[in-house]
Formats: sequence, structure tokens, C-alpha cells
Amino acid sequence: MPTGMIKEITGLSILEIILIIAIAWFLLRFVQWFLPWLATQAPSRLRLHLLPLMPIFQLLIVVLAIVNIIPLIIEPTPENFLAISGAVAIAVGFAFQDYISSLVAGIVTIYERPYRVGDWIKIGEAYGEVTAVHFRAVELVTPDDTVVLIPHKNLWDTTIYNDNNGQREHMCVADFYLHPEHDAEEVRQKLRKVALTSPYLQLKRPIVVIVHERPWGTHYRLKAYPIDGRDQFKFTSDLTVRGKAALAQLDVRPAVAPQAVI
Amino acid sequence: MQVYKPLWEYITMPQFQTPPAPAREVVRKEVTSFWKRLHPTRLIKRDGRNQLCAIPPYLLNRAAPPPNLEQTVAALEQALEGWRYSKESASVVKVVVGPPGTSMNQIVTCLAQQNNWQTIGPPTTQEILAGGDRWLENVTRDDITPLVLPQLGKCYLRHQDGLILISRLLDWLQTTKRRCLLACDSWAWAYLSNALQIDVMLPTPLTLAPMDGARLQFWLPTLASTHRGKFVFRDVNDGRQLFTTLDNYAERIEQNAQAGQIERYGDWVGVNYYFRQLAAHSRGMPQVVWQLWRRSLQISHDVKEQIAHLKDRGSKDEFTVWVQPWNQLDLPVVPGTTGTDETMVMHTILLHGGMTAPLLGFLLPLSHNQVRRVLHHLLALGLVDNEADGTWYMPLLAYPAVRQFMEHEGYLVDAF
Repeated sequence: MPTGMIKEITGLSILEIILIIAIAWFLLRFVQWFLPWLATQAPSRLRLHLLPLMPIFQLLIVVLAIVNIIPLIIEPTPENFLAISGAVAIAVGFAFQDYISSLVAGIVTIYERPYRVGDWIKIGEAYGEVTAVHFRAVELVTPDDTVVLIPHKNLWDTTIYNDNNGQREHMCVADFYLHPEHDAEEVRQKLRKVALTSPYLQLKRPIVVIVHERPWGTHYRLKAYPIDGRDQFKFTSDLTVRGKAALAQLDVRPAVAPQAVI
Repeated sequence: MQVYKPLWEYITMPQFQTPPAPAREVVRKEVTSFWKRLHPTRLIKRDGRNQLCAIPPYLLNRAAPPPNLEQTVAALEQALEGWRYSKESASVVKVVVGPPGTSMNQIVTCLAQQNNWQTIGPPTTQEILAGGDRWLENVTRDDITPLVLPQLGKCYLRHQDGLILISRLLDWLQTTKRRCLLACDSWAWAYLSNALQIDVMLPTPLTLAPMDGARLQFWLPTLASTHRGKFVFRDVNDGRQLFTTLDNYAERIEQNAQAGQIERYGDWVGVNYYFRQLAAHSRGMPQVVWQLWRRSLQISHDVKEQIAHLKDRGSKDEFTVWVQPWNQLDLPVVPGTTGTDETMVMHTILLHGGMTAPLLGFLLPLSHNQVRRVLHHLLALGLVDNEADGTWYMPLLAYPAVRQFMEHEGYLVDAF
């Protein structure tokens, strides 16, 4: 290691380092609070544009903090920089392989955007709304209000399902299983009306009713978009409740589960 | 050549263009709208003219009395002249669509009364949900006189059973030979266009031309025309008179009145910035303009004695009324934190042109308690109001803010 690489650490430089860390910490906390707050105050259409800015700002703050701290510790010559970064890379790489992998994947997510804050995603068994994209992990809140942290390194080898991919609306499906003896066209029209009259419906998007004939009955899939993806469960429940009531009026019997299922 | 144009005229719906806001106004509106969403309870700072006070109701009713519908009825009669005598079977149905507050149902009812046409009111809620056999029987009866349905927007409910009646009515309208005049609220028209393609099934509707800045500048002083000469309207900020004085204006109004003609205005007269602003904010809706105008009028404290004087002897002296720009008024705003339940309630009220709380509970996936809670929350914000019969409706002063909010939130909005 070249001589004179490490600077003489004085009380003043320690104070400066602490100050930079404190400012960076404060800014990180501020960004974490401010952008979600701003997203709740701004029109909903801006929410999905504001929230994804959070990891970009966080990365920027950390990089700026590191860039300011390094010259306070080492002499900022190219040789010193190469020597230090090489040593740090080897040490950290062995000790925190997974951690570093997640950090790198975190940076990749900023550019590739496989998920953004506000998206509804499924990774492995976990399904929920992305509430934060941290450096190491993505934070989801499931429909049962459980917070799930998933390391970004899953990006390398796991399939990620994104329901809305940055859009405000995403398709919801309500399933109906009916006894095969009924007027399918009448049911299809009725289910379409059920969707059309739901107050959650995004009227600018199409409504589709898909019918499958199964050995045990007829399977109807009512597909439509809510105005706000956050209301997807309320929307699906509304379609189901009102769909059941409408079908009861038509005297359509529900399908009987096949013996194998029972 | 200076040509006067009719103040009230009907145009086809695609011709309707919301009065554009001046560029400066667009920027100001966006910034203040965002700021108000962040601070919904913050009141607009006043300019310190604390010598001004609210105008007493009796004086307000003389300075800005409710506009009568005679002119709009006459204009509609003119617009329908061809239809009344047309022999083409393709044009037996005529539709008039108007945004909230246009009183389109009253206009067509008035016209029907003048001409002895048959008018049929909307079906009841129970009739709509049951398919409305008896109501439709009444409507589809053959007759030689035209049929008027003044509230087409009240013939449906946003419910899986609430579209049957209107679908059947539309089927009949497409085949009938009887002349029919339909009036529909713009929000109901937007929903029915989306859900049932009513805009394709029926001919292109007529609508009242927007009240743009030039029209406003001529219309507002005529509201106080009974006492013309007594009121002088001055801008509260600079004290200048708001209305352009034209030499032959009074004479022209008088001539028009004598001839029973529709009032006319000159679009060549320079339009005051205030009126361009007001027209854009009110989206060209006369009733919104009128409400904002009444809210803007103030009088000076030191003339309180003059009022009594004026009242007593019916003086013909000039009386100054100060006009506060609408953007300095304390108008209802929709807070940024407004949730789905509140938005759904407001949207349903707009789509149906008003609704009772029990019916809202029936149509929306909310309990009666939730509906009551939401309505009272919205009432406190000034975003809804209720009538004596229990119908909740959207106050016109809140309408521009609510419509803008709905549009931003991605809800279906009307074309006006």
C-alpha cells in the first residue's frame, strides 16, 4: 500500500465526516417522508410518477455522501483510489456476497424498472403493492396488510409478475361457477351489466366476459378495470356480490363441485 | 362591420368549446389548485379592504336577480323550428343536452307548455328497477302531438337492473314516427353514451352555446336591467367600472324587448380580463357564472346608510357595488386526501343529477352509516348540499372544482 495513502485523521475531519453522514441521513429520511406525502396530496395520476423517484434520490444522496467522505480519509490520487477500492471490493465481496448482490440488483432496478412503487407484483409466494424500493430490498404490503421484504437479488433468477407495470389501472377478474343448464348469452349480458354499473369501474377500459365449459359446469370470468388499482379487492368483491345477486334473479344454479374435488 | 350576435343560441354538442382561460390564468389556477389541495382549510388571503361587507339580500336580488328562462326557451324554439315542420322520418327525435345548472328540463317543459305538447316526467325508482312497463306504455302511446321527456337522465340507475327501462325506451325511440323532444343532463348523457352508446343511437344533441367572456360582459349587466342606472359595478382591486358602456346599449335592449327578440351582444367589444377568467372557470355555464357573480358582489360599509335611503325613496341615484374577483373568493375545494368513498358518492350524485341518501346506499357498496358519514363530511366541505325532500346535489359553486378533481382522478366526466 503506498505510503501516505491514509490522511491524518484530525478532530476536524471526524467532525466533517459525522456532519456529512448526518446530513445524508437527514436527507434520506426527508426523501422517504416527503415523496410519499407529496404522492398522497397530488392527484392520483401523479402518484405513480412521484413514488418511483424515491430510490433515485436515495442513490444520489448516498453517492454524494461517499464522494464527499472519501477525500477526507484518503489522499485522492488515482493510485490510492485503485488500491483502496480493490481491497474493499475483495473484503466486502467475500463477507457480504448476497448483500452486495442485492445492492447491485437494486441499482439495476432503478434503470430496468421491473417494479416501481405503486405497482402490484408477485415474487415467489408474495403478492402485494410495492410501498418502497430500498437499496437492498423491495417492500411489499400484501392484501392481508403484511409487510414483506424481498431482496433485489431475486431479480437475477426469479420470475417477477407485475400486474400494472406503472399504470394506474390493472385488470381484475371475478369468477363465477354455474350449473351448465342455463342461457349463457343471458348470463353473459347480465354479468357485463354488473361490471358496467360498478362504481369502481374504469369506464374507458373494456369489459370482457369469458366463458369456459367444464365437465362440472360453466366457468365465467368477468374481466374489467377499476379506476384505481388500489381498489382492486373492493372492485372484485363488488363484482362478485352484485354478480351473485344478479345471477340469483336469473334462477341460475351454482355449479356443484365434482366428487374428485370434494 | 360590427354585427350583434344572439346572446342565447343552441349549437350542436360537438361545436361546444369550453371558454379558454387566459394563459396567465391557467398557470395561476394550476398553482393555486395544487396549493389549496395541500392546505384545504386555509382561507384565501384578502386584500385588506375591510371596509367592504356582504351585500344585503334584498339589494343582491336587485343587482343580480335569478335569470329568467324566457330567452333560452325562445332560442330553443328558434333552433327547433325546422324539426317541428320537418317531414323527414330520420329526424323525429331531437335531443337537448345541458350541463348541471342549465335547467334544460325546465326549458323544454316551458316550451312544451307553450305549444301544448305532451310532457311525461321521469319514472320512479321502483319503476326503473322493475323495467317500467306501465311508464313505457304511457310513453309509447301513439299521438300526433310531439312528446317531451324533460328528464332523460332520470330514467336510469347505475344498477344492474337500472338500465333495462332506458334500453327499451331507446329501442322504441329508434323506430317511432312520433316527434320526440328529449332533454338530458350532460353527466347522464356521458354515462349512457359509454354504457349504452346512446350517442350513436340518437341524433347529435343540441346544447346551449357557452357563456364566453364576450357574452358575459353583455349578459351580467342586463340581469340588473330593471334598475338600470342605479347600479355601477366596480372592480374591487382597481376601482374601474367592469362593464363597457355603449352609447346605444340601453336603446338596443329596449328595442329587443319590444320586438320579443333574443338579446344580442357584440363580440367585437374588447373583453375585460375578469370576464374571460370568469367564463373559463365556470366552463361557460350561465348558472355557475350567476352564482359566482352574486358571491362576488360587495358593498362599502360607509354606504349602509345610503342603502336605507335608496330603499326608502326609490332613488334613481347610482349605487356602487364592488366586485371581488372570483379567484379571491372563498370557494369550496376538494382536498387532496379525498378518498374513494367520497369520490364515488360525488360521482354518483353527478351521474344521476342528485340522489337521496337511501338510494346512494342502495347503489353504492357502502352501508347507510357510511353514506351518511361521507355525505356529512362532504357537506362540511361545501361539496354537496341537500334539499328539503332529502335529495343531495352538487352546489354549483363547488361544481368547477369537483369536475376538475373527477377529471384528474380518471373518472368519467361530461363533455362540457
